[in-house]
Amino acid sequence: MPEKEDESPKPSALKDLDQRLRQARGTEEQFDSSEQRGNALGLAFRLVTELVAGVVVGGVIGWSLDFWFGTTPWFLLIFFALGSLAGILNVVRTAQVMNAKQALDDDVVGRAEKQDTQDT
Amino acid sequence: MAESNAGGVGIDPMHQFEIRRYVELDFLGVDVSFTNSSLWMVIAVALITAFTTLSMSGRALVPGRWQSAAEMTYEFVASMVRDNVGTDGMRYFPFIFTTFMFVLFCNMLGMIPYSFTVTSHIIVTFAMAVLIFLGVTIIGFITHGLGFFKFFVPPGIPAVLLPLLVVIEIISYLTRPISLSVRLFANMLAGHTMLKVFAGFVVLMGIWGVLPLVFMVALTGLEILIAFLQAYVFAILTCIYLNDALHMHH
Amino acid sequence: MPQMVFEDFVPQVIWLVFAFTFLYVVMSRVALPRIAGVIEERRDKIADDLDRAAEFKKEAEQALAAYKEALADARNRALAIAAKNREEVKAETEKLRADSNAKIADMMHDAEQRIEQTKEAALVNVRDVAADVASAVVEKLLGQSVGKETVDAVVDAQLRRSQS
Repeated sequence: MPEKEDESPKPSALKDLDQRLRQARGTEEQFDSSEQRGNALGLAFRLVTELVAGVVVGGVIGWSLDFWFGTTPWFLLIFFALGSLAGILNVVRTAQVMNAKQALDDDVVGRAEKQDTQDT
Repeated sequence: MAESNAGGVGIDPMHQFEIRRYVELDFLGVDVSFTNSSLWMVIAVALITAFTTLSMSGRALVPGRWQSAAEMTYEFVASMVRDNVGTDGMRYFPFIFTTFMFVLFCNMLGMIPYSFTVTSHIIVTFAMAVLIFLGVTIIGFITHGLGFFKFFVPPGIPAVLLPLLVVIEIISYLTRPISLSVRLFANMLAGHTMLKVFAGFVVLMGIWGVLPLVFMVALTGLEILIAFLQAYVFAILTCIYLNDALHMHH
Repeated sequence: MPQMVFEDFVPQVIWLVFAFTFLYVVMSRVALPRIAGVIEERRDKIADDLDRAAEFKKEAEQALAAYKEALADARNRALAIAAKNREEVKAETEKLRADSNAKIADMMHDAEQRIEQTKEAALVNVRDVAADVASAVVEKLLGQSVGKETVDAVVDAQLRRSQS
């Protein structure tokens, strides 16, 4: 029967076109910003910076207040402690953000892979 | 200067960071000398301007190599802003694009032997970080008025501890320009110092210098990656700070 | 450390401000609007083209559906015609077969009747011949003729016996 010969290629060609159309549409908004995953040293350095920055800012504030009010070591001591706390807070936050990003990245990658296998 | 030239590049790895005044200038008592740092800033600005304008002079619908590179850079930063700040952050896209490109080009130009790395000076990165910090804080106060102070009040904290925690939060907020600038500066400093040290090894070890040379090639690749990554981090942190100021969530 | 030479801070910051401001103005006024314009233009064009392609695809799909429908229709009709023809042929054949069967049965019936008649006639002739022969034989043997009724009766009896 002749119908079988010209029936089968047509839908596959259309499907192909459909897929290409969808692909063309998809790539427009598929600019993934791949997150950097620093090595351990970079990570450690980052956290240390956060901690030290807190201490430094606290120290500078305390020292300035002492300088203005002539209360020498007190404000420095207080703000040194507060600065350390702020530094620890920074470290915790940075670590949390890094963890969340890692999880999100893994999630996104995992989902993309799953979709990929489903498509093919 | 004569002794360091005679001693070769490897002896003093910090020599490359020295500021040299090419033209001594004085404007109303302020030192505005044209230095090697100024030179490489101007080169970076010129290259960025050329890259983003000359490549687009064709305005082709089907882009050539340079045009598509410029467009990709644009899209890259634009999606960074969209993802991290949202569409209302696109108002500040030119600023973030400028920041990203300036840092990126300064970092990359620093990879050229005998060049100068503008971003390896803490004062430069700190000035940029402070500019970003002040700008973002002002945007925060413009957008939310005095309500921006709520940004420093963590939720669900007993009233007794609140003043203490607000002070800590403010100190934490004030550390942003420091960590932002130190990260970029330290990465550039460390990378370039390492490269110089290994270059010194190559010279000193003669025939055995092949070993550090191989390592240096690998390190150069890594440094190029870091140069890009640090520009990216600098820009993305700017985006995150901007997002905090605009939308006030941690 | 060259980074900590404080006299160098001022020129660096001033040139930074200078370079950065210049770059910012160039980017925000000239470069970025131009890139954005080209990208926008292309995006519109691509979206347009994609829409057109999608439209063509839809048309193609419709054509395919119509073609398929027509094909199915034609096939159904062909099947119906074939079925009808088959029915007709079958009915005709059936009728022909029934006719010929009936004719054959008639002919067989006739033939059987004729055979029966012939058989009966033949039997009568056989009896007559037998009776004649019997009376002739009796006459020759006894020298006198026997009554015709007697001979007939005997022959009949004999015939009946042989027949049964």
